[in-house]
Formats: sequence, C-alpha cells, structure tokens
Amino acid sequence: MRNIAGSLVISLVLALLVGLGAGAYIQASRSQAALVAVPPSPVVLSATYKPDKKQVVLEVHNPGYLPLLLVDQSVVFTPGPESKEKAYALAAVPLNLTLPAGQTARVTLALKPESEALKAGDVVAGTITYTHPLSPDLYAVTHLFKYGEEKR
Amino acid sequence: MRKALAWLWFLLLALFLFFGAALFASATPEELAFALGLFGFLLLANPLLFGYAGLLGFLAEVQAGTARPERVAEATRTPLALLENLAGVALAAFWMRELAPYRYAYYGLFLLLLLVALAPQLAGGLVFTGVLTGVLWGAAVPTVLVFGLELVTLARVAALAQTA
Repeated sequence: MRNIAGSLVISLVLALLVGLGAGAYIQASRSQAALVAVPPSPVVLSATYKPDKKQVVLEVHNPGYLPLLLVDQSVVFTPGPESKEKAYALAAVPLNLTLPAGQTARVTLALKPESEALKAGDVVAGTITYTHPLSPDLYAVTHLFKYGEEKR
Repeated sequence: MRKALAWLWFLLLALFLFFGAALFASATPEELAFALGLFGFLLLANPLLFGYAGLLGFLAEVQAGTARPERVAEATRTPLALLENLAGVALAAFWMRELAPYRYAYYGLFLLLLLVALAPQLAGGLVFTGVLTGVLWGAAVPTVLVFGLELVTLARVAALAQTA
C-alpha cells in the first residue's frame, strides 16, 4: 500500500466493520440475556387422535430460552351430541418430561381405556401442568381438542 | 486555570468511574468477555501503538527536514554513530525492524484467538462459544488500530521514499 488516502479508507472501512460486528454481538448478547429472563409458556402446535390406541397426541413446543418441566397431565372428556359415552376426567397423570428451550415434544393423552372411540363433536380438554426454573409455582396450559372439526 | 482544569479532569474521571461501575454491574458475561479481550489485547498492542505513533511523528519530522537520528537511536537502542549519516527513510526502516517482532507476536496471537473462537462455531456451538466470540470482538478493536497505523506508516514511508 503506497497511498496514504487509500490506507486511511481501508482502515476506516475495517473499523466500521469491526464496530458493526462488535455492536451487533453486544446487542445480541443483551437481547439474549433479556429473553432468558422471560419465563416461557408452552404452545400446543397440533393435536391428533389415534383411534387404535385411544390416545390424543399433542405436540408441545417451548418457544422460550429456559427449559420447562412438564409435571403432569389431566384429561377432561365432554361428549358431543352423537356420543353415548358419559363425561369423565382423568386427573394428574404423572408426566415428568423436561422440554428443552426451543424444542418440541410429544405428549400423549391416554383416554379412558374402556371408553368408546371418539365421535364427531366430542371434546377432549388436555391440561398439562409445568414449572420453569425461575419460579417454584405450577402453571397449566389447556388445549381443547374437538374431534371431527376442521383445522383452522 | 490549572485548578479549573484539575477539577474538570476530576469530574470527568468521576463520571467515567460512575458509568463504568454501572456498566460493569449490568454487564452480561459476554460483555465482560468483550472488555477482557479489548483490554488484554490493548496491553499487548501497546508497544505497537506507541511505536507506530512515534514513527509517524518521526516521519513528519523527516518530511519537514527537522529529523534527529537521536530519536531513532533511543527507540531502537542502536549506537548513534551507526545512524548519524543515514537518510530519514533508512532511519524509519531501522525503527520498523525494531517493531517487527511485536507485530508478528501480536498478529500471531490474534490469529490463534481467531482460530480458537471459530473452531467451536464450526463444530456446532459448544458451551463457551459466546464468551470466546466476545473476546474475539474485543481483541478486534485494538487489532484494527494496529493495522490502520501500520498501513498509514507504510504508506508514508513509501511516499517519502519516492520523493527522497
């Protein structure tokens, strides 16, 4: 490099790039630290009924930056107009599943073994209780699954 | 006047300490790693920064025609008798040779840090990836200073060599 102006321009461009990189890095670490401080809440992505096993399978996603511990699950069955089955509830079936940050797990809700197959209009309310590392409290998320209804 | 200046300096230092402490208290581990890389490599770059700054000053003197070989003899610890009859550009070459080992050590260590910081990223995010990246970005700041000073010095020496 023989040109002073050229050297200065190259140094300036490099300094801008380094400043950009360092600033972006610090900003990213700050926002990640802020996001980690937000307690996550699981999201149920989909629910599918498996008639042969009498199960409703929920796909539970953890959108946060903290791991979740899924403690137990409850199922409340409400019959629709076509069903002869009576309403029932299965409470507090232990689950003990750790859901890592940003990952999806499958949770199977077992229906009552001696019950009939689901008919259109039946509603299965699956409740999953969970804890997160920032608090000793128990939280719950409930997903309503109406059988035979079109997905939106 | 002196007293006012002293008070201004004191105020500036107090402000600096206050905001520095506030930043330190609210810093994430990655930012501390950034500061560590910055100050560590600033220390490492110290002989180079001051060396190139002194050399640039000497080159300005050479251009103005007021250069004294004593400065080069002092900076490079060479006997003055060896330097007395040399031209300004040749004296600058002596000074640059004095800085070369520091330069190689500095760039070598930076390259090592770059490799160490890049390797876990290529391997898919190990535990200390973020912290190592912070050290790397911190070290990049004095590296740019050193590189820019070096480029400018080389350009000035080349320009002087063309006119001489």
